Amino acid sequence: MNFRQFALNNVLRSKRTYIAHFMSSAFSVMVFFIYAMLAFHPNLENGIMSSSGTVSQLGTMGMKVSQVIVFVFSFFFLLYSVGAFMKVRQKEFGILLVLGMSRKQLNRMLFIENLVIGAAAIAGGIGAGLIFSKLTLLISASLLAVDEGLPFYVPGKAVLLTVGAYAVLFIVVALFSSILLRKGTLISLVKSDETPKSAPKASVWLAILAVLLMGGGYVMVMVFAVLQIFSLPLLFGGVVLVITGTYFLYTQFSVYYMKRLQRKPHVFFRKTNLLTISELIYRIRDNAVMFFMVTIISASAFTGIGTALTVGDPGLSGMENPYAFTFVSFEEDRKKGEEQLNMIRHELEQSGIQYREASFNLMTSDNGYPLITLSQYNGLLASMGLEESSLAGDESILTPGSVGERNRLRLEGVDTEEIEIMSGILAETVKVVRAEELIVIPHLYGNALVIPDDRFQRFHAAQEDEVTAPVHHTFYVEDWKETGEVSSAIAAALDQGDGEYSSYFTSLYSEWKSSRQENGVMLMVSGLIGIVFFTFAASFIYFRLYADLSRDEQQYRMIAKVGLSRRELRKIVTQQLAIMFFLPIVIAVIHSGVAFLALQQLVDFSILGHTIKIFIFFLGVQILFFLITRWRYLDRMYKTIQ
Amino acid sequence: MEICSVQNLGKVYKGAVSQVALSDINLTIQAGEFVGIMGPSGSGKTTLLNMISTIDTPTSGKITISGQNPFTMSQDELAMFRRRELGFVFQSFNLLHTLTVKENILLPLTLDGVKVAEMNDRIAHLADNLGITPILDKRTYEISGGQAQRTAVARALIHQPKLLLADEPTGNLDSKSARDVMEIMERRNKENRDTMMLVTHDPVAASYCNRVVFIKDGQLYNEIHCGDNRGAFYQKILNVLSLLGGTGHEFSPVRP
Repeated sequence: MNFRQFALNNVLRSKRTYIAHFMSSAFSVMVFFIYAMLAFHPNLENGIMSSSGTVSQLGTMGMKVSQVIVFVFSFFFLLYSVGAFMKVRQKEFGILLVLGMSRKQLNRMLFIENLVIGAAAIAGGIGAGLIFSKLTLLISASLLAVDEGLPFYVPGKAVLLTVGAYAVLFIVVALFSSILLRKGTLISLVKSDETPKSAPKASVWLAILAVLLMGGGYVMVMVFAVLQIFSLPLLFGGVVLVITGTYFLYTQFSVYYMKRLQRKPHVFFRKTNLLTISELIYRIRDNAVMFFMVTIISASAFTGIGTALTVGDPGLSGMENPYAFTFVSFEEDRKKGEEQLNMIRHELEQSGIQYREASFNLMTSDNGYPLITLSQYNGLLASMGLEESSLAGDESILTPGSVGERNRLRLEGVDTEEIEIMSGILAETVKVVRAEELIVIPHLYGNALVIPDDRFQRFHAAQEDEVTAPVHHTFYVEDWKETGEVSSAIAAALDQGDGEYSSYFTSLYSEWKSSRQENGVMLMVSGLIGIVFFTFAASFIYFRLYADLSRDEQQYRMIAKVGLSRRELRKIVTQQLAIMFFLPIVIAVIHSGVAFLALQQLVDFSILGHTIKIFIFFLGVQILFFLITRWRYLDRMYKTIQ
Repeated sequence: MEICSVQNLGKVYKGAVSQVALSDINLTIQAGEFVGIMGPSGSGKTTLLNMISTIDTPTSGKITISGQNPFTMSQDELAMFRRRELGFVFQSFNLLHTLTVKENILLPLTLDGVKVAEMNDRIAHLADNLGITPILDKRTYEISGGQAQRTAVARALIHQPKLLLADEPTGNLDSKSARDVMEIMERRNKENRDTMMLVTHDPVAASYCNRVVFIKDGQLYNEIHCGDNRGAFYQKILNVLSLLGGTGHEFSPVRP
């Protein structure tokens, strides 16, 4: 046995110790590799195949940003987990030093160990990434709405980049690991497991402060969303308050609360409560920072994924533009416009899609108000299947042209009751009776005014130079998400013309598709990063448990001697593990729940579905982690107390 | 030849209330001696051993081991010194769980970069001598406490140290295993003239020594030598222990 073999054996023979460390490292390598594989994918890299250059550029950029984020977090994660191992192994290091190992040799041993794990993690991560590469490419192609798909390729560049980046990372962590080793005296290392723990302390004031900070943060975020005061300092301040509050929640409030419980004899001295509560105080105190990190990481993951899902929701596109197709033709070319319009109708009828048509043309008054006649407006409303409006002679309706304007009107109401409209020599005031609740005329800057037809004609006649506004033909389709094929058919049919710029066609489906591609990128980025964060968070919990394992064994062996049945042991362990696994997640769910509540105020459609999906997914994964850990842990404890 | 000499050694634990653990200890161990240190709990015997082991530092006085003062050495020199001059046996064995019995024993040689052929040579002889040849390839969780402690003794002896230091080596063992370990140590002392120092609570273990030094409240109390008869020596140890006063209940009653 030479020195290298000795260091190697340290790792290879304690696989169970390193399994979580290895798996999480390999997982982050895998995710990094997936991003690299996508970023270097010839179809995305050149941006020819995807529908728009911007999207593919955004995609590549998104992948690169994600790589950096995953990389940076991998570094901190590895440092933390290596640190946890150092703490567990203090006594072992003490023995080695007593046996005459020099500090230099100790550092060398740690270095070799870390490199062994690093090499294995890189190989494992890339291997797993390659195995799943076909699947990854399929999923990404659908998420990014690349119709041609992303064919498999040999990702040589991605492999090289991953190996290079993580080799550097593991070497740096390996170098750091020797610095992490406490430079304590030898005797304190050897006796590291014998020193008793100090009693946890908590201050009432800081405990109250925790609640106040979190409450204040929530209020600020809600103020941001509900009152729509879009100031960045407000949102940022809210987030900072919540983060600080969470920190004190774990370090102060929880300990304070448990100590209160301890002082209630009828609670504290009931069956296994005595053990559970007194153990938990220490566990929470010791793990407060870990809980805090896990909470913040999970909450950011949830919120990030939720936001991405919302932005990619078809409801968002539908909210801004209710019409499946809009065709704009100009007066000068009325004949050709008519032909093209018939072409569109023909295509729609052929595909058997139910649609309702309407048309409108806006007139802009001399002082800049877009005007529309009541009859055209009612036509639009009818096409959407809504109730028609009626107006008296001098009345008008303010109708918003964008989601932002609509939200403003909904909150602030109509700011002026009377509006003066100038048209040539004519200047009349109209009374604004109400503001429309939804968007009837899309893609408009500001608002439009709906006025009775006769009035409109009067303004129109008074205009100095006769400008004929383009006519917008709208086609309302209930299931517009199914209009993908017919959209491209119409676009192709219209393209066959002479290419003269005389009309203008948009389809909601293609708008949605391109926004979906942009958001597909966002979703992939936030989703994968979220999952990586979540895995790291779960590993943190595992490491903490592992670090306390020998102490726990000793403790339960002792208690078992006093008389503790298996059932009671299982109950205590389950309660404690449940708190370790779910307390941070529950707090994270509450945090992101508030964030989603705020997000809901900003959009029309319900995001409850997305929220529930995310929570169920992550809770499910966490329950799985919990069950596996509990099984392994109990198994070990049963053996101990036998 | 003097292997270890302790002069006016003192140790004070500083704190809100400073506590004197040892004061003015003088002790000399000659080559080939087997010295036992006894005393009630908290008398400072482990503190003394830790300082001779170089893992704790004295607040006053001087320790010389084979002519060198370990407390004036640099960290690297100290590591070399521990590796070559000292051997340790602990109460809780302190074997490394990731290594086999053989690898545990070879660890000090590995650290010193000894050639594999020489390692195998030395371990064959030593393992045979300590009766652990059959378990050499076993892992630490597969062997009994007595076997583990014999492994630890082998690890402490493999590099032929000038001084072997043992802290309650029989504390975690049943009486049969304890006797095996003590007999091995005694034999090594007699046959190979290995110099050993032992800290113990157990009068039976102490009776294997040539000389037993008693410490009480951080000061030397008494010192007795073994004659020809181990039974008589054991009786003498028990007598001193009961004389140590007020702590008689800590020890097993005098047997005829």
